[in-house]
Amino acid sequence: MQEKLTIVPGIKVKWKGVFSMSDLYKHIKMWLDYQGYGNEDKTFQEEKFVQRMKGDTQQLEIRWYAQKDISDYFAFVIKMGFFVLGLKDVELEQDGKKIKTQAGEVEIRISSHVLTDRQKKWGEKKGAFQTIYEKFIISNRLDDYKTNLYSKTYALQDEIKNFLTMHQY
Amino acid sequence: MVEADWIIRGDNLVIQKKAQFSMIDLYRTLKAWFDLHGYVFHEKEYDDVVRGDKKSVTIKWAGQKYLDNYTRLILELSISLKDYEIIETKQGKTVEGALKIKYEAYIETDYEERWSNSPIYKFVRGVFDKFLATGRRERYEKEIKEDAHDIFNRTKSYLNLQKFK
Repeated sequence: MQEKLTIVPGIKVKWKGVFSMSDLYKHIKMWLDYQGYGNEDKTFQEEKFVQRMKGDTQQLEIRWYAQKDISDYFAFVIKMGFFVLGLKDVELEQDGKKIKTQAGEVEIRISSHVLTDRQKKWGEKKGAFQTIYEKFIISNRLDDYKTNLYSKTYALQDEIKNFLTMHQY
Repeated sequence: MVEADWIIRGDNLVIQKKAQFSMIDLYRTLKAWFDLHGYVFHEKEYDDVVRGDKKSVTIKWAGQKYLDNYTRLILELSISLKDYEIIETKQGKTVEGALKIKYEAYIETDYEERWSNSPIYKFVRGVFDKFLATGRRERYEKEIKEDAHDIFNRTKSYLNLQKFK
């Protein structure tokens, strides 16, 4: 039986100010790609992309499902949600040069889980075999994967925080 | 699909220092180590970034040692050299910058994917690995740990010797 073992139930990054949404989007997508979660043919899905115009500002809602297959039994899943309010184009002046960027408020939610029996080969219900397999045979490996995904999830949060704070004009 | 059991992971085995060395010599030294110890060497990644007048490079080298048709050992080196500059010396070109080398090691089993077709096979394979082949497993773990520490020491020696050049 396929199971989701929650590793990080939900962490947030909130930012209000100047930032480029397209750069942020590209940066996170590239990070996921680099870490092995970005295979758009198989395991990466943009589940939702909603853009609403509110006067001269935009509202965005984006949801990503990113999966990395670790073995034929395990997969790591990172889910992300972007909620952007009041996004508008702004022009800044830096060293006498005009730079086009954006400003607004963004909230990014991240959660992650380990997916067991990712290929659904072990049947509809969790039987004794699977329980013994997970509890006694591969328990060390499972613990190791949990730790790894936990640190990857927080590394992603750090990456976003660094991007938002460092890409200031 | 193969199963990987990590023996050394993260920042547990790391060299970090400001160093001046020849990248070609480091490559030759480590490549020779991999060859001598029976590892098939390959470069997994090479990423050279130039930002203004600052250069940084990230390289990932990996070696695979095939122990039998079921098990192989993997040693991975992540080399990061930040804000480096190229310096001409009598011995040739060298680089100077903030160097970090991370060593990671893991054991891959069933790399030929013969035992991953059905849950029964997978279960039997798990029982075999966990309870029947323990002696062999411990031997493999010891071997890869020793190899990782050996290449770690080899790199340290190489970097320490550079100051006498």
